[in-house]
Amino acid sequence: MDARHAELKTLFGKECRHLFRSPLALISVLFFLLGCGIPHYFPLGTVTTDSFSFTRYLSRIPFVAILLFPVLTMGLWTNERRGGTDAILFSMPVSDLLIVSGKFTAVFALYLSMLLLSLPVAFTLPVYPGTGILLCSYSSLMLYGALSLSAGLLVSVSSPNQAVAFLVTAVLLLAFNTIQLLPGATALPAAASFLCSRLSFAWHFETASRGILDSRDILFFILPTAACLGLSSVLLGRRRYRS
Amino acid sequence: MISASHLCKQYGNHRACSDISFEVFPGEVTALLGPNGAGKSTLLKMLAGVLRPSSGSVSITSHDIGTEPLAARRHTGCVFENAPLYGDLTVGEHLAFVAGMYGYSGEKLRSAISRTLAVCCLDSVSDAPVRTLSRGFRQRAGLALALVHDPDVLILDEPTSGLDPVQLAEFRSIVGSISSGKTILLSTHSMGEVESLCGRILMLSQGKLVGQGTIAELCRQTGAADIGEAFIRIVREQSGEIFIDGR
Repeated sequence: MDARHAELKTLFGKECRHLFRSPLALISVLFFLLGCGIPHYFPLGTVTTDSFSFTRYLSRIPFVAILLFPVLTMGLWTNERRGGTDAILFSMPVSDLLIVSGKFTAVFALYLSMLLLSLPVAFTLPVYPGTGILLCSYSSLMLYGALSLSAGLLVSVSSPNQAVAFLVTAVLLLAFNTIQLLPGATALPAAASFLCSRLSFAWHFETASRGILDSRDILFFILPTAACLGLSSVLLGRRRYRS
Repeated sequence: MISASHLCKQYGNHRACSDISFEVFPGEVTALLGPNGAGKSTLLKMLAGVLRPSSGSVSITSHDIGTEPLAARRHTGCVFENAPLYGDLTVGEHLAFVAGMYGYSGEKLRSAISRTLAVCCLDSVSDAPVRTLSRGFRQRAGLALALVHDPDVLILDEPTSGLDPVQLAEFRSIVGSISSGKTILLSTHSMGEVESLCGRILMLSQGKLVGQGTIAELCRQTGAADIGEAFIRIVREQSGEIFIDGR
């Protein structure tokens, strides 16, 4: 195995132990499953199995994530700084990008486990949504998670404390989850309305919910994810000048 | 070997370290003395590669920390002030993590862990989460992390602060037993530790290197009876901007 892969695996293992041992992991999984499921199963206070819709179920995930992702990412770096353990990581013979990648892959693994646990919903529906829709929807949710978590990590690296990291990440996610509503709420020039819809997560989920995975949607999620991780490592490097 | 040349560290308008140059050779345990706020931790963090100098250079076993940071860090083991550790990981998991990050795996990793646990007398607590350990064990665990990859250079930032006399004696005995062939720079406030462990001394005050040499040399220069008195005289003289070079 390549040395860098071995180091990433070691860092990933340490971060996973840290994440999955804390009550945060269990509470987050429960919050995720109940947050997506309860409004779905009890839309009017009564069980209405006839109105089950897999797409509607999945469409709740980004809104649950507005609260969930900031909780998962706010302590990723601020906790290291507070406990002084950032010095341990900084003194190791690994790049700042590898440190960032280790943290990101661990929190992404926790998110993937939540998605995995939500899969049985698809198989218990009266009408199976279809393999294409299932695969495309989950793929776009994975990409959405990667972008949101990398943004949360970037905020955690650059924030002075957890509260600030939580607030900034939550506001960012809320903005990108609702920006498509702006043209309907206020009169905007056509170009601004176009930009609002193209920047919104909802617009990039739409094709996936029809069973199509558009390469433009994939790039929409992947490129900013890479940028957030790269920027996080640059900011970590700059901390070596300041801390 | 540690070689520092004209090291400076500036935080805004505050200069934490100013034009510090020295060398520490293999087989030497060198003490870094200085009053609180003298810049000891800043200097040690720069040597460990945790903090980048504003100017100047550091070389660890001939690897410049500015141009070859990963190679330099590969040869360095560090105990930071208050021995920061991950509370939810066990001592064994800590060692496996650090050794893994230095490229150890399989049998080599297992043998490095068991050797380090034995050297630092941590066998009995290897499966205990760090948050449950006493201060003495935590400090030893911190030292174990610095030793697990068998580094050539050890940087120890007040590793004995807060230890009781028994723990202190045990810690000194561990450092004494591992010092052969290694380059060790030890920051401390304990003059007893300096006398029992260290061959040479570097003295910092107000971010400047105000003295260096052996205990005998520093005592002779200052006319002091012991190293504690010599330290106080040198620091006081520094207030009057008098520089004493022990070489």
